[in-house]
Amino acid sequence: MELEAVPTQRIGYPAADAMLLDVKELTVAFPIRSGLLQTVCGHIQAVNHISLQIKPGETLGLVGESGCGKTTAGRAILRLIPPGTAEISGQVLFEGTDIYATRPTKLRSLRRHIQVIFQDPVGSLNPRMTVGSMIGEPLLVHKIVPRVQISSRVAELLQKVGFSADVINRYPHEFSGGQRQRIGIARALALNPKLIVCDEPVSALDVSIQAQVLNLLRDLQTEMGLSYLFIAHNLAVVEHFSNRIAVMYLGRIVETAAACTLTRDPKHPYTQALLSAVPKPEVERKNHRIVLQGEVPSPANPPTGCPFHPRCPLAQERCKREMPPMEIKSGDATHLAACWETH
Amino acid sequence: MTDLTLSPMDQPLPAAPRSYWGWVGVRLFRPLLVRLCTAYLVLLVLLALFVPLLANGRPYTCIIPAVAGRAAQREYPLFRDLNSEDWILLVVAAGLAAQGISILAAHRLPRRQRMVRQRMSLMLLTAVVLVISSLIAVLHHNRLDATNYHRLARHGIITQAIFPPVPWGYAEMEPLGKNLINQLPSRRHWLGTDGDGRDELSRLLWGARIAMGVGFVSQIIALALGIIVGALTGYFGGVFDIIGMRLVEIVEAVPLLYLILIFVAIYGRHILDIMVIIGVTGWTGYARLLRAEFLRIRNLDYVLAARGAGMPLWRVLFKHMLPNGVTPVLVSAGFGLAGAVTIEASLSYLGVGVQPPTASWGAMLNAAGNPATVFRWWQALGPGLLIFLTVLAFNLIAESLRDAIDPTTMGRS
Repeated sequence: MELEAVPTQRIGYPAADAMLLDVKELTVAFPIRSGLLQTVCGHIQAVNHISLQIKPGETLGLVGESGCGKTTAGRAILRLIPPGTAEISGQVLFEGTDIYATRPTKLRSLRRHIQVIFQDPVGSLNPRMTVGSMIGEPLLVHKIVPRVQISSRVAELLQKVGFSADVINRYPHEFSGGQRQRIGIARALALNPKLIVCDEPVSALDVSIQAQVLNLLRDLQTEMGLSYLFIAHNLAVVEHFSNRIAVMYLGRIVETAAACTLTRDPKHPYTQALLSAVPKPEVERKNHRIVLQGEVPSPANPPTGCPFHPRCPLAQERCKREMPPMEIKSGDATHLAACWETH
Repeated sequence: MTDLTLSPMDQPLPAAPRSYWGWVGVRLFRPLLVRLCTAYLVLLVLLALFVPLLANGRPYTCIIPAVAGRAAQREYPLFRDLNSEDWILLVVAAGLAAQGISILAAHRLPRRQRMVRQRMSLMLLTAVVLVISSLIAVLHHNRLDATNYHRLARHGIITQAIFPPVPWGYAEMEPLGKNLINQLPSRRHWLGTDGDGRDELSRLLWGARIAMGVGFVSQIIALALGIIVGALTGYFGGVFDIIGMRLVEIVEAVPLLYLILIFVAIYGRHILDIMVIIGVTGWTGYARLLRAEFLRIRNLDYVLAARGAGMPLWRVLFKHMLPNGVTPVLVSAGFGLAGAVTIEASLSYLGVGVQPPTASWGAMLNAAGNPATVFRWWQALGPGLLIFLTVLAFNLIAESLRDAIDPTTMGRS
């Protein structure tokens, strides 16, 4: 237990008050219940003491394989984990306000500034609502614009994501995946947010549509000064889209750095393995693919010490006992990794 | 990467967009049998609303002769005799009709305008109906009119009398001396008479009012309770869920028939009590169904998006979640209606239902074989057939609704 408590060093930028989003030691644990009385017999540590910061106008990419807790982290940052299903600790500061310490009424007005785009273009739109009412409803509820101007504002938003205004009365099932994702983006934009959590926004789309949606997101960022928390499992997508990247493994952040630094000079063996799996266009360079052995351990029963040690090619005795802290690994003060063996 | 520009329309959209409920409606009413059942039930509801105008012993209008210095004048005995309950039902029916007309009149308008207009007219009409109904309830005095208009008309005392199509009230007895009890169908009484010399057809029609009233009122109460409990337990889970589900189990453990018998024994036979009892014991199934649906829906992305957009709780629950989870509950409510009709009929059959002389199909059925040595087929045929058809119609429609909302058959239409 003592090993668990090793605090993750604060990473990224020193001036915390200039941050748009500042996540400190966020932990999400889902209780495992069993037996007749549904007693708690263990916890799934979906997100384990993660800390990250996002500056205004910046994109932070959060990568990791399936089941590593990226989506849960995103939802926990939005305070969208259904009440009563998880034990959440840590702080999520949005412009200095702790989202988890806010009263429900205040929280609802705070939510205006943080919006979300989901992975599944089918499930993220209410099948019983028209596009117009879906995008217009937040405007109505938050009284952003007068009631009479809502339809013109909706048309404007739809134009922004490349639709003509006559789709207002259509239902979601009439659209293709990429179109739906753009509707989801329009809905997220309706409230003029400062931060958008993009939860794998393109992984369910065709490659050509992926580029379309990514370009749209980038254009909107420059136009509206948005910040993104960009969650994805595809490092190739993230490295072109983000300013900084955080790599997650088994609920922990194992490495964080500026996008170019991370791809050029990865320090953590897990990041190195991830990067080696990204196809390179150069034919000449022989690609040394690092194939990891074994399976991802269960987050209900994580390994002691470094969570990566059972699969790590560099693992030593010390890795099995002690959790490595996040440390500066290169000349760049924003490049941190949690590993005993790399320097 | 190919063309990265955004085209407004990546693919052509179908010409006539149809909402989910539009689809369900089309698929529901495709089978002829369902259309017949719906027509039958609509007829029954209309009958329940308008039965005082169709089966009544008093003429719509007649001329009353000069009596004691008063000049001869036109009278409207039927309308003067309607009690406040009848008037309120007529006002409600008129309001429904007006709403129907306004929907039909607006169907050519663009969708947005149509919705606004429909909402406006619904609010306006509800207000008007409520105001008029409460005025009636406060101001209207029920009048006791025991005049036998048939005899007066036969003897030429009142003239120009226009009687309803079925010129008998539900409690109007033939004079005992005329030996007109338990009569077979005749031209005077189309379905014969019962043991008190009352017209069977008239009582059948009035019985529709009780059956429909019990069915709809009890199920509306049950739906309201079930939806509230189911939505809260399913959405919040945890302590809410434990308390709500234990409440469901407690209510389910109460035997309905005994509860009603006890109530009737203590408070007497009031049809409203029976409606309420069926309602407050019948919501558990709806709560269970909706809870299960809400448990599924609360983790869907569009609900998270709604919560993430800072929607108030009631909007998330009833605007985003309920329309997506209510369909199994509606199917179940269809079966529930049939069940409530059956319960009322069986209670009345056992003699603990409505207070005589109020007409009820169950009580009429009982009278057909009472005492047990006789069986008067004409008294059993009508109520038996109507109970059977009504329950069958509700069940068939509910079953067809279940098929119509089944996503696995969605592509096949």
